Amino acid sequence: MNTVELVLGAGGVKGYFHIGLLKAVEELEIEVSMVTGVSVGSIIAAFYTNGMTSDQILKLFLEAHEKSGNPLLLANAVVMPDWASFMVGRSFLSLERPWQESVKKLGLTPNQRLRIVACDARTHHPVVFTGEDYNLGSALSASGSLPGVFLPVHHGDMLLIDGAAYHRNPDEFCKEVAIISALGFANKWPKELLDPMSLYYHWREMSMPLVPQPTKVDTVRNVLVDHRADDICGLSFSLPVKRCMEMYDNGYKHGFAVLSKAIADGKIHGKAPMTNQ
Amino acid sequence: MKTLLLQNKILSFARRDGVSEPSSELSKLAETTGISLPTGQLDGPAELVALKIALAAGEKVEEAIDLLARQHPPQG
Repeated sequence: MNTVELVLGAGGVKGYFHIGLLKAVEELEIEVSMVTGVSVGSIIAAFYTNGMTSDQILKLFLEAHEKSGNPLLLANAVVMPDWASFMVGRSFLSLERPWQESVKKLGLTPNQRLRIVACDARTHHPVVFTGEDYNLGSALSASGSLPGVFLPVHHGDMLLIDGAAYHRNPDEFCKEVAIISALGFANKWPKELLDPMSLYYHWREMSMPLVPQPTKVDTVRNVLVDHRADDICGLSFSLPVKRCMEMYDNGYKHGFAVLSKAIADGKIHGKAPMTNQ
Repeated sequence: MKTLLLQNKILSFARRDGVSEPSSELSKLAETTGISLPTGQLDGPAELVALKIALAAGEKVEEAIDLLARQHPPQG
């Protein structure tokens, strides 16, 4: 079989690395059968499996980034939670309404190439959305609802939280060799001055993550692209666009190098890269 | 977002009164803007196709809409 799967891990604003990696996947003509996404990875996976190219996804992300400080966007996410949701999420913000609206507006649909991972808040077992018969807006909201920042999503009897609480890069659901795009944790202070909220979350990610987030993956079977973004916190949404583009460029360059080697080693199929890339 | 505004304009054009097949209006529009979309980019819900055209063509899309609206007024 000449196809591979992709796992796009959790990591908030560091998702730009994933987009860079997708660019490398396109250039190396690697055929992707299925994409598993967690948190920001699930958003990019939904765009990609709906036929959008890395360039198109990058453009949308950059435009959204410019508007991320808009208080109207935040207002759309404010809700009065029920008691159980508040106890889990410790927040008044819900991703559900914004995502239901966005999925409809953008024409995104669940599809056979997409797998979204969320986590049951009570058991910490994974809840995996696949196929074409589920609510994509709810799945995307659930997969990115990090407790302490966003409220969980009701799903039957369960309350679903960010899939990263189960696993940041869950490769166990893949049936073929997978390329795992892992975004890593911040363990250094940032280069730039951040707003107080981003600085708080940066400190939390370095010293006391909001929820434990397992990261171990099968590197024997799969190809790990570890972006090691150790001075960027996933919740630093006030980063300048220049930094976002740096993440994209580094994701592309590092991804291209790792994937080229995997092709040369015969681990995955793709176009033999030209030298001097 | 600029792209989402363009997407809305494209959808309004494709779904204007008298149009029975928005998908063929979207194909005409993509052709008129001169963009080359990868295979399969014109498949899927009208919202998604309009978004892809907006992302690929940018502001060229507004001229193309004006031109098409003049050349091919909807029947009926």
